[in-house]
Amino acid sequence: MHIAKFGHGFSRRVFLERTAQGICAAGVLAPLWSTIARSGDITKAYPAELLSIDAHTKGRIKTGDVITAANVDIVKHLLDPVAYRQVKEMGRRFTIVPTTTDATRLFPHEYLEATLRNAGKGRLDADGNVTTSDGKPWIGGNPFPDAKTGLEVFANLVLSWGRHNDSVYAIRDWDISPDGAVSYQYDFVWAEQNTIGLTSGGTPYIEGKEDKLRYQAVYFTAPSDAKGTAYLNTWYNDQRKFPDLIGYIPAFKRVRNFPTNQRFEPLVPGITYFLSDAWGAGDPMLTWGNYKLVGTQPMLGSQSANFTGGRNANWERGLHGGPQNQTFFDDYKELCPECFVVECEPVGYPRSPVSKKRVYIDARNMMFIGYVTFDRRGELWKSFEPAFSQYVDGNTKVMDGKHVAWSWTHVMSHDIQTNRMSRFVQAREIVGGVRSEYNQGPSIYSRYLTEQAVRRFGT
Amino acid sequence: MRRAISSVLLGTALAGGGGTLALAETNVTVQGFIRQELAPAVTGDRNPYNQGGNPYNNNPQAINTWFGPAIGNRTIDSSDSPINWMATRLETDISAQFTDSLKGFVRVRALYAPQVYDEPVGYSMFKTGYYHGNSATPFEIAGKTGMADLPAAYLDYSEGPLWVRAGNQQIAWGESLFFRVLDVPNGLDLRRHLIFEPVAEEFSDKRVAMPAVRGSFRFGENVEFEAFTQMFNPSILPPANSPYNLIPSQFTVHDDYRASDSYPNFGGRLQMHFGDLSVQLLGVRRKNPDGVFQWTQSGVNRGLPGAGGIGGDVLATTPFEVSSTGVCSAQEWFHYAGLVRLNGVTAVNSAVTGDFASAQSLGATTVSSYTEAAEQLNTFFNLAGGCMRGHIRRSYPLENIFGAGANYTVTAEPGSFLDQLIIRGEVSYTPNKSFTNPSLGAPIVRDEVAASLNFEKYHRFSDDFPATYMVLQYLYKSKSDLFGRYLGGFGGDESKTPTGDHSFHALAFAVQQPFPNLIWRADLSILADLEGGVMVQPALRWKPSADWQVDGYATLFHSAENNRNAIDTVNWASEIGLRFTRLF
Repeated sequence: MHIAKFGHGFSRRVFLERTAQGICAAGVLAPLWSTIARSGDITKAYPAELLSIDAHTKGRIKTGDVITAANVDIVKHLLDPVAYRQVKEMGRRFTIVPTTTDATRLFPHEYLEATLRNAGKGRLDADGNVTTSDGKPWIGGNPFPDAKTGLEVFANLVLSWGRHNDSVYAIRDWDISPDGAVSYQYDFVWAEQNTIGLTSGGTPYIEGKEDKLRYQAVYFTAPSDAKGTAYLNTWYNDQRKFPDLIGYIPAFKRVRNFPTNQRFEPLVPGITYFLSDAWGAGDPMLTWGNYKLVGTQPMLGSQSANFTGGRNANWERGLHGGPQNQTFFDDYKELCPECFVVECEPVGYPRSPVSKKRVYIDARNMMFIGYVTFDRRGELWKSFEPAFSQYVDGNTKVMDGKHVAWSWTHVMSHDIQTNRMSRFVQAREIVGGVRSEYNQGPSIYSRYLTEQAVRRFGT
Repeated sequence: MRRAISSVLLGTALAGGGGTLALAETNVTVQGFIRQELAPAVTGDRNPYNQGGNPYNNNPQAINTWFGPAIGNRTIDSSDSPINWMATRLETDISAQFTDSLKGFVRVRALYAPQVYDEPVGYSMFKTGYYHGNSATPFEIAGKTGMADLPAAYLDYSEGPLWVRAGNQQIAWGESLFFRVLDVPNGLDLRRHLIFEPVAEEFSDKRVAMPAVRGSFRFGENVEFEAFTQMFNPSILPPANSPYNLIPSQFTVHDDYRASDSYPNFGGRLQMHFGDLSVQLLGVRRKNPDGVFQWTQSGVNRGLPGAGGIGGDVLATTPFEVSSTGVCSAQEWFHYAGLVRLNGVTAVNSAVTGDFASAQSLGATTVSSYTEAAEQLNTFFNLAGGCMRGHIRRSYPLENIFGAGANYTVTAEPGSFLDQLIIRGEVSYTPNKSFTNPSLGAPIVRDEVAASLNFEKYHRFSDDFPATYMVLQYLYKSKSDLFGRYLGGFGGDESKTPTGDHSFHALAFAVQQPFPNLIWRADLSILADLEGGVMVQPALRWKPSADWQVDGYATLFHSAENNRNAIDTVNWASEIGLRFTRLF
């Protein structure tokens, strides 16, 4: 039962006051993280108006409704400006699902355990890097589950992207031209392995690699002219340092070193997203700056019910909208009770075409649910909108070891200045036989994350 | 269809000994493209190394013989070819993933290149007789206008730090673009459009793939050792009188390489990373795929018409034969000697001494000057009824190459031009390397050093366009030019013998400017030989969709025509290139 004395507008006032003070403090009725730590449930942290779209809209929108151009104005304040425009003007629609109150459904199991286990141990050192309270590299989970500043919120995103020790994502991408046609289609592998902040296996670090944060690679497997294109990033724990970058481009037939600060370029023709966009935090945290909390608000975010494995053997999804009815993925959004809206600027990239990004981060799991960038003129440029889910759909279940997997399911990256859309799914399998998998252990490193692997794959 | 065409359950578990080979799923993928390529010429210049492009065709020359003045004349018609190259290319890649550790890959390449090039004598676009009659590699079928081969057909095994690749494959080492300082394991196949594809593609279609076993092992994160052994194969030259032929067609090349001559090249490379600095060291023992040329017996018994038909048996033991498609005047002799970096005087001496001393029984002697050589040559051309064809042999000496390379990424003020500038240096040392002797006698043996220094940078000049890629490269070679020709033969021409050069220096500069979303890309590539030649290649690539790509480019040459620079050799070949590609 929710406390009735907190009527409509109460939470809005609380959020406005905190934003004015420039502080994050998750939870309205009670501190969110201690509430989760006690019961795994968020219900006691928020009033009813933040836990149900029905209550929030006073019944004008109900769970199960489809948001379309006809009713999107009711929830305009719960969407980022690009998502609103997509629904209002381009035929996008999405379905409302219940708000997830069980926090265990918003994390990989081991990651949540590590976050609970290590709560309160995260620090920002004098340089701005995350350490434990005794000055060692981070030991797993969100370092700042109760983040107080924009930078701490971002640290939760950057330190573990996929929230598994290692992940291989088999990705199928479609790129939609302004006339609504599919102009390009790519299959590629995204592999990432953390070297610190490990959440299982008995040790938080890969021995001897405590100075690093992660290895991450992209491999294109199709079409034939892109096949073999590969990039391997080695990230340092010191977030002031650029990652090392080597790459293989089919035309050169050789693995070569590449400059690492060109993180705002499409990797292949037609794609609208950059390395910098990955996970809303694709660059080392301290190569960006001027982190500011610019808002705290509820949002509609794709945080559950988005896995389609029970309906589509390759985890692909239905389409709609746009000039040819195929611009947008079908997806499901829930009312996320509290999101931190953080802006930051690419201070380490004076020639970046981006002037700032605005990232919407769900306070429950500190994962981004919306992301927009602005060009150097200050004009809204792109949205990089992700969707997440536990990997359960009917009787179909995907495991990440002993537990049901949690991961992202799809992303829509919309350049609204050119009206080009790149949308991609985490597929079960792509051309080349690569399958999505998690927590596979050291074999991921040899298979994907070495210069030798880049050479083997490309040449 | 570029989807995985099947996930094939290979079979039942194979039990044996103490272990079981688990069920395996094989994912087979087929991808590829078909491409129409066209390269019209933009000048009226013709390939001088072909019969139809010889500037002495029907161009009578006054000549002095031992018997007095005469006229030397080639009675071959010149050709006029507005199109240098037209071909339809099909490439299909077949990949199979057998297990996490084992995969296979096969690439099938097929070309049909109709003989649109006008030439007064017959020619083949592809035939090369190294393997089973007409083919240049073991996995090739070649004909007059078409070829099909497997540029890749291998199995890959990887487990932990070990990677082994066995089968037909290219091996590309080094990081310099276009300058092959450390890119030494493979020769080049120059039959398909020579090297006139877009520069950005470098030699990816050119390196000669051969059967090999290549493996590498990682020692920790920063050290990797790689080694290979691979069947040797020569660089494959365009056939005589084909559009981009490089050997003057008045000469017959006796390329005796056959499968039975196969030799296992081998080499090793150690790569190490130290922060922003990467270092590699390598050693390769190989047969030089470029080969060296020297005079050889013609074996053609055809008498001298001007001497009553006698001397055929002697000529067969010399490098010459009587032929109307040979050289017809001393002017032509010296002109071509200059073009191919030979010495027209010493070439006469080496053709009439040593193994070919029998020529002296016909009155030939050694000569000591341009005039003496010219007079003797003209005399024999005259006795031959006008022209004589020369015969040369191509052989492939063994050599050891030792190399080192390093690259360093500069860290400077963010956004400054120096920030993230990559500096690469590569150097190779080949002791006792054999070069074609400008006399076409016994090869010259010298130590050679090659080195390149590269500066590579991505820089964003505007908010609206992706970063511009720029690379500036310098190449130094101590004894030969870009094509491996000995510098001692440089500088000769129709009127004089070569003076030679001391070293070779070239600069290359390339810019790539992608447009937003990479749908368009503009390239500009410039290669300059500091002795007075330049190649400029502007290019535009359009990729409007996943299925189509269009490339348009111009490859333009300008040289001082002093026979001292590498560009002279292809100065005739300025052309437009067009490619229309449909991917599948």
